[in-house]
Amino acid sequence: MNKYYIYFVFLLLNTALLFAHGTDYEVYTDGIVGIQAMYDNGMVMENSSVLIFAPNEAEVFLERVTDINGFVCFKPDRAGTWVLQVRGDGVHGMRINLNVDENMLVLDGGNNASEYIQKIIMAVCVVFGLISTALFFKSKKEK
Amino acid sequence: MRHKLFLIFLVILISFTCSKEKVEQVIGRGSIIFTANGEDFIREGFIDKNGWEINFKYFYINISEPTAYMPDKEGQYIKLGGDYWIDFMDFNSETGLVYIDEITDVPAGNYQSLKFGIRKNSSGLYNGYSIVMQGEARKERETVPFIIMLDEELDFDGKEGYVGDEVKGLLLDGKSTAVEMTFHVDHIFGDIDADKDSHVNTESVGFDFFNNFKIDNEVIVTQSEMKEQINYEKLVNAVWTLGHLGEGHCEASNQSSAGIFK
Repeated sequence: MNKYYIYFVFLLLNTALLFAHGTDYEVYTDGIVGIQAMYDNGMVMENSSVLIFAPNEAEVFLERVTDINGFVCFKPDRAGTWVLQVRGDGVHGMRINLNVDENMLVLDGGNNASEYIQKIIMAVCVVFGLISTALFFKSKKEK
Repeated sequence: MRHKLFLIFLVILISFTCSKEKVEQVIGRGSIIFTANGEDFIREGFIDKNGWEINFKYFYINISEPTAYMPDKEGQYIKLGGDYWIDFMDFNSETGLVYIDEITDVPAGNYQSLKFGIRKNSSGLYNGYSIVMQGEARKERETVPFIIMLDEELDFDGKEGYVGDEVKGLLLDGKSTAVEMTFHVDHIFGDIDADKDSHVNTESVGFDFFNNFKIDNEVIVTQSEMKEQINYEKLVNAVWTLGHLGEGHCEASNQSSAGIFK
């Protein structure tokens, strides 16, 4: 039974990924938004300060730091445009607007990433989704 | 079977929840204040990459038609007409910002993006120059007064928006918001506190470049007089990266010196 639910969560996770629009961030589970911050040259913005602003608020809602892969995540608690300000090497930064709907899901894409990278990510998501589905039904068959 | 139906139900639910919905729009009217920021580099001075302690007495720049706009709504912009010859040393002591102008009773919205031109001044002492830096450079026992006059013209576009400690440009009903043009002078001089490999140091010229024009122990130089100097191209490229919104990058276009470098 536990195995069954592990496969299911994996499938669920990848299903959510398929609906993420954009390339410099991904919705990697329901209700939690994650982004990967990158420089123009494609290098990830690791250990960078991220200020998160709630919709229609000018003051900081939350402060985070990206991991070594440039990833950071947070849990939005209301619909609207969330603003993330990422400061990289102490010299430059980037701003990302995330339009979050009432289900706490991101509506549209970010910026600064190429269509080529986006296609690769989508392709990877589809492959993972198929593998997850296959594993899921295989586990059921074994039962 | 029960689990399978549960799975199908949840996948359908996710599909529905991922469909696009409208996000609440900002409505009403308010005011936009246009400001400029020379950062602590200009206000307090700094040590450049060559070890020169740089202090400014005046730092003039001629900003043309600053325009705050909403990147996702074509035609939604607020523009200040004309040119604004400002001095970064004439800043508000509390905020550090230079006040440019304010427009009241404009539609509320997210004016996160800002574009502005740099143009030659058309009157006064520095007629014909777009950026004038006046101050002193000190190194060891030497003090070199300088006046550096540039005539570069270009347009900056900070579509991505302000990056800093707060959100700027978000105008709510009955409120005011400030938008800020930030100029990174360390891109010209470098910064001894930054990494040697940082582009601030690798792509800047430092005061050594200007010190080559020293006569009678002072530097008074115009951009046209620097054209034959080694690293002139690097200087011009650095000027093209001066404009920011906080730490947010601005795209440069219509540079007057574009095309002269091969």
